[in-house]
Amino acid sequence: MNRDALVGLVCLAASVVLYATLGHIEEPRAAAFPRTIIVIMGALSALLFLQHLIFPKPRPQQPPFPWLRVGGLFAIIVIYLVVCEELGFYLSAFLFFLAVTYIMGWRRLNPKQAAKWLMGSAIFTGILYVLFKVILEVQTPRGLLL
Amino acid sequence: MLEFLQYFPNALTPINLLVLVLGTIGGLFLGATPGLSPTMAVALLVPFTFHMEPATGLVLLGAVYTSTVAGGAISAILINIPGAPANIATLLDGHPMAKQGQAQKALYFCFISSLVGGLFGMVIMVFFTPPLAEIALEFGPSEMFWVALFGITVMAGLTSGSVLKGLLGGMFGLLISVIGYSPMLGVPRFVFLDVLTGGVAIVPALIGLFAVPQVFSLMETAFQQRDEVSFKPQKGILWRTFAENLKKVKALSIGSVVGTIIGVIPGAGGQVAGLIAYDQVRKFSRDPHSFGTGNPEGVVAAESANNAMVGPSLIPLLTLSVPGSPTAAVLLGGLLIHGLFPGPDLFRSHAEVTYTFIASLVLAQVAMCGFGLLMSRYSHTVMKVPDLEMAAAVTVLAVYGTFSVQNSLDDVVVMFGLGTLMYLGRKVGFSAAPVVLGIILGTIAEDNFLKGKLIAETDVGLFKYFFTGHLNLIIIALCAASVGYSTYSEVRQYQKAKAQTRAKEAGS
Repeated sequence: MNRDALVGLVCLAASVVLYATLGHIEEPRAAAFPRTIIVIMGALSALLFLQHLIFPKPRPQQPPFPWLRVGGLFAIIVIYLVVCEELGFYLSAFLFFLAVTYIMGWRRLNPKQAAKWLMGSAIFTGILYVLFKVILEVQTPRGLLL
Repeated sequence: MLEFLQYFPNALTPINLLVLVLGTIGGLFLGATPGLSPTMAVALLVPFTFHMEPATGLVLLGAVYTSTVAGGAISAILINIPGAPANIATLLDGHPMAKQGQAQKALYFCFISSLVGGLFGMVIMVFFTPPLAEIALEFGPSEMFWVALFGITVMAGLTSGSVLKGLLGGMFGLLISVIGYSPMLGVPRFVFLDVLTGGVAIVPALIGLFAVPQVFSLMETAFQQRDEVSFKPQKGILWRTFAENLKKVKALSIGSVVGTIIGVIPGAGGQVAGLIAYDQVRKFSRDPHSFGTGNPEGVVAAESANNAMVGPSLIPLLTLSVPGSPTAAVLLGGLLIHGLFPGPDLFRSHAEVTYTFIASLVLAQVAMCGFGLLMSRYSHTVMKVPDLEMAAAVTVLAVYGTFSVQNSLDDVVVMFGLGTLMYLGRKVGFSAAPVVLGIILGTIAEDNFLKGKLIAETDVGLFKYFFTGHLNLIIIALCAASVGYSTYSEVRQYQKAKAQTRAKEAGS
């Protein structure tokens, strides 16, 4: 099956599931608007499925998807969000910047590179600190240190 | 017009001028950075405006909006990657000019033409917005419900390659807007997780939908080679280029008029404006074959058009809550956060804030040109900002921006979840703009739907209330026309692609 037809089918299934979740709402007026939207979504999904089943579009060749890089970034962001609450905004931002620019950059560790890498992250965190803490005086996620 | 002149000095207060200058420089930088769209830049800055007076906050957002559109031309000209979709037409002749050693001249053409087009669009906006806002007084719940749907249909048709996917995105946005407790009836809906109890606020949604997919895309392209040109700044060409630019009356006029017309059409945006203006100038040219090889008229037409679009794209936004471009949709979010609701009330009860904002947009055009010309000599250094560092910085700013709304990490989780979903959606052809508009207009649509339903049930009945009356019929016809036109364009594109495939097969 072609990819867009599959997208239509997935959206249709999602519409059915969402419609079913509205069943428990006892106040009919609260469900009226979302129910109408879901019915329209279902109809549009069915049309998308039929459109691409009957008139499949030729797809241009795509370069291979960089799963490792994008997946790696996703994992680093998830870890960042988890540690942000424990370590606080500034320390976690420092570590996140290091992780993204160094680990994702696949750089080799030598003293000069490491110093440059640490310096870059420290400057970035310093700018954030001055901007948010000193100039704007706004609240950021608090943790162990700041 | 009198009110505009009355409140114009408000835009010149030291704090507003400082914000305007910083916003313009920042916007030019963000616009010039490949991979960062103007929409994302404005979305990231919305939380910074919480701590400002409403007028000052809007001055910042307006300055960034104006300058990112023009700044996007820098990367289009220097490395053949448009900084924003609005700059696609600019690279057709801008990059060939740069390859011929005329990069600085092309950049000067770009900023001077942007100023001319931008000021033209602003004049139209200043004259037409207040009287059009009065029309909104005629609108009742049924008309407002249809207006919300109209906004989604136009955005759906023009920002996505597929009308059906665009409409599905808009409907998905409307559904996101109803997550949490119903404001009118206090009943929970779609609260599958604890973090969804309070619903999805506009800022986390804006940041998630625009910034997170961009971060992942930066990671995808982080190690790709760019088609960079050598850049050698030349001295003493500014005034010569200025005079040469102003002599290109035909390209400037066509660009400014086309940009203004396209700007008023909701959802069309700078990309359409730039390409149509470019095409028209080429058709009217005595030497159409020189276009695409480094003809300055191509740059002039495209840039005057995409900046002329900025002011008029705010006309439907400020009068009817229907944004003229994806970035204007984010600006709508900024207005609502400061308690400003589009319509006549904006020009009566909040005249000071509104006219200060409009005046600052005029000043932003001048600042954009001035700082753009200054930056032109050093713009090639902006291209050297590495994608990885940019991705890390955008993520950290997105986390701060989302957290700052309610000092809640739950919002950050929602932002990241929505953004990841949008990234996957983009991979299968969905666009963020209709989803965002659905979220923003969802509350307006539901409130008016329920109010209309109540009135209809006690009066003329549901069908008669929503589907009769001249205003209802006009808006429904506009919805149908926007979907119809987009469907027609999609069918034509499909037929064209099929014919090309057939010709290729016959050739081989």
